Amino acid sequence: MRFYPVTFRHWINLTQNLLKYSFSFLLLLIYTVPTIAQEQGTFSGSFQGNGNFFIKDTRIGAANTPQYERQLYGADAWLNLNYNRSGFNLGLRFDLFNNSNLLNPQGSYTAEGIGRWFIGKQVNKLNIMGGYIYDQIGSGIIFRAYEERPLLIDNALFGVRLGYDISPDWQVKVLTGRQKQQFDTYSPVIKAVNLDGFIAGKNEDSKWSLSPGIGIVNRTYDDESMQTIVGTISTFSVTDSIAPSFNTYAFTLYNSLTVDKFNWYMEAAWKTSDVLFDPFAEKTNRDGSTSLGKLVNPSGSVYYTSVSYAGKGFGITIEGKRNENFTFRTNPFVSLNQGMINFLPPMARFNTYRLTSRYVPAVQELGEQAVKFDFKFSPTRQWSLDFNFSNINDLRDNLLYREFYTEFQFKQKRKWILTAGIQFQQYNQEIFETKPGVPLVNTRIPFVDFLYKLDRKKSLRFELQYMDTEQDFGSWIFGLVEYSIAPRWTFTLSDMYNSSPTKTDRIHYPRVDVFYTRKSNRFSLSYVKQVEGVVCSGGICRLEPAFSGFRFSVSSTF
Amino acid sequence: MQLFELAVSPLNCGTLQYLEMKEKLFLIIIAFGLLLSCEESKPVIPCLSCDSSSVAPTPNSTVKKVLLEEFTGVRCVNCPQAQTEIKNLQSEGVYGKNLVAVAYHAGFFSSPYSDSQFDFRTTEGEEILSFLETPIGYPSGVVNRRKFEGERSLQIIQFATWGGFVAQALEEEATVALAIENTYDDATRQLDIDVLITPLISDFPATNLTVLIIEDGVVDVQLTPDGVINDYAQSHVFRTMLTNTLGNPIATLNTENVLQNFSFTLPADWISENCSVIAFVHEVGQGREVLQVEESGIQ
Repeated sequence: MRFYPVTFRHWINLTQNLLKYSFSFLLLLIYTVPTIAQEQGTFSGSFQGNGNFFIKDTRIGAANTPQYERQLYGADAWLNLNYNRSGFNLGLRFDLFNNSNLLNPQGSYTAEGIGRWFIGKQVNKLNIMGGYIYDQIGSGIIFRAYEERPLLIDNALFGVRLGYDISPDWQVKVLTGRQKQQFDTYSPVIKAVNLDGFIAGKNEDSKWSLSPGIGIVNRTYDDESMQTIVGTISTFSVTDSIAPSFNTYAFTLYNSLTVDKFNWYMEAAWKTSDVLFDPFAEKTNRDGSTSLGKLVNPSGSVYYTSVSYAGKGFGITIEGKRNENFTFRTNPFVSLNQGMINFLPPMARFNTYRLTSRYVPAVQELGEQAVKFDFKFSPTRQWSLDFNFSNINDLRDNLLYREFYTEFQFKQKRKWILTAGIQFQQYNQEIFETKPGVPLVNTRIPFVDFLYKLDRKKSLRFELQYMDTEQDFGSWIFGLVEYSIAPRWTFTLSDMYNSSPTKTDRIHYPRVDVFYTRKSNRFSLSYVKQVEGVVCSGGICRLEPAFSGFRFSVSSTF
Repeated sequence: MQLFELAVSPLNCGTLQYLEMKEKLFLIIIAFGLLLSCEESKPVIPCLSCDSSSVAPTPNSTVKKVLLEEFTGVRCVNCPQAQTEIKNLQSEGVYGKNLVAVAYHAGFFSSPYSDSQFDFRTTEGEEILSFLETPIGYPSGVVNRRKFEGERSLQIIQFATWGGFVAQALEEEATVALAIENTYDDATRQLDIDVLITPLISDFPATNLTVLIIEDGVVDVQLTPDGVINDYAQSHVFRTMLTNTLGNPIATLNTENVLQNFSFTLPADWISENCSVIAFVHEVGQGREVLQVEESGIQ
């Protein structure tokens, strides 16, 4: 027998083949598992797909991207399959992006392949998992591997996780791997360890409990990344020079105290010095002048707390957060929503109406201090009141965002539901959208939402919103009519109209949607004209250009 | 509290459980301890700009030079900072003339203001932007048309880190030498260009030659962090392409020197003293990497 030396290239080929045939590999495992035990296994899965047809409209700025100019069509799809049997847990996901504008709203992205696979097994108290892993520590402040499809965030950790149940109430887990980057991985290595516990009063009628936890995350730069960092720093003047470390550590301590209807969550996190880009840091140029923006190497911190009380007919939640230099990414060359290792909780209310959600503050990783207050009051089943206040400042106490929101709802049993309210906002567009010199956007947005049930199946819903503002694009009116035939059909017609424009002509942004739901399948076809704006998903935001065209979506679970 | 109970209860329940508890504690200590292990050796940072003895090598025809293609726009607020960064990198003592830069006004922020004197956008600039992949934000830079390890695309939008990528590209050996000779007639504004390409290795890959003209110090309206200003001096603005947008094939490079000639008449509103010719040799087909670049002033 002849033996061949195994070179690095052999390993690469082996890995590529493993990925190429991972589907066959998983099917083989699925096929093999029945021989291990006679227990019934379960398949489950889901599909989500979007198709876009782009229609160029220079009036609203929907132009100058490959899709509008020449490609015309784009599609994104995710097909997910899971299998569970005898403590085994296998999963596979096929991802497809064809001329997609999700990764880069101004560009076009085409790729397809296995977007995720994993193999898991519970062995007594030990849980083993390998592959692409989604997980988080505490509220995610030092580590969160997650997926947000609307922004094409997929920060899965490609590696191994071990979880061990020390006792029914105490678990420890360790993870290591590299962060997913579309169909590749970033080079730096991430390791994490997390201990989670639960402590409750001993008596049966005891009403208190504690859920403490501690976590540590370490990111180690690879030699290539460090070489690029060193190469960059070597061009700096002596005063701007910094000393980067291969290893950065982030620590967190958190606890949730529950006493009857009272809950108090607190988390404190720190990060050792880490090279990051600070766009506001002053840099000394070679000619002696100064400019803004350079690599810096500070340590960081986050303090976050949330106190809530849920009484009969009312609930109060107060949140506070302060973070400083807590950009934690795979390397300092990535920006926007790329390469994020952690997740900082947003401190503004999650709004759903079209105009109340037009200005959304993205979390300022380099520094912000914020408070949020939420009060819900529902004395009877018929009516309820919601009041919310958020205030976000930078660390020099300059206002970034302030919102007062109040919503009143009245339900006439089986007949109609009226929701009405008003929102006041101050939004620092100069910071959130990097538009120098623009004033704070002040908005006043009254809104009304009326749902009328025609019979047991049919209903009509109307929305009317008005944004009164002198800044940015000026004032807007939004109207919507929705007709539903439960449980299958929904027809929606809406229009957003720039009633007193400051930048463009008076432009209508109409939208027509048809939704059809049959069992676990849902189809939608929409004609959309959408103004440019900040689009946020799960607290992460980015500036999206205008959209004009048709959208077709399918989602299915099985 | 319950952890404490767990810790003491084994003492009353037998040795086996006690050992299990010890193992559990050992596991936790090992897990946390592994993350906080030894102190690392820090990298050594060479300071190119703090000691005159570390000045970059004097450029000559066989020294590797690097091309930085910047994508910019008059409505791009951070683009002036990126241009300042390029000036820093091109300073003597940093990379000097070993770094050649061209700024294409293309993409989302490049449409002119109503009071702009020039529309810097060009069809070729848009074509190159499309060829080198639209970046997720601006300003964006492409270093030697090379996809660096760990980068998603050729486009690097963190301008503060361009210097590090340039350093990596400069470490390579030159495989081809370039020389440019310009002859300019001030009266007729006629410019004749000779580009000499000399292979330094055998088995050269298929390559193209791109030749273009840039202009420095073009004053016009620009958005800056201090607002819109009317007298911003744009640096290394792409003006025109003298070859095809993606270059002209160099068929005989494997065997001998290649001399190519170009002629162009400068438009009246270009200041000839501020114009330069840039020529670069780059791979075609699967690879796009720039192998060598040279810049020469018209006057």
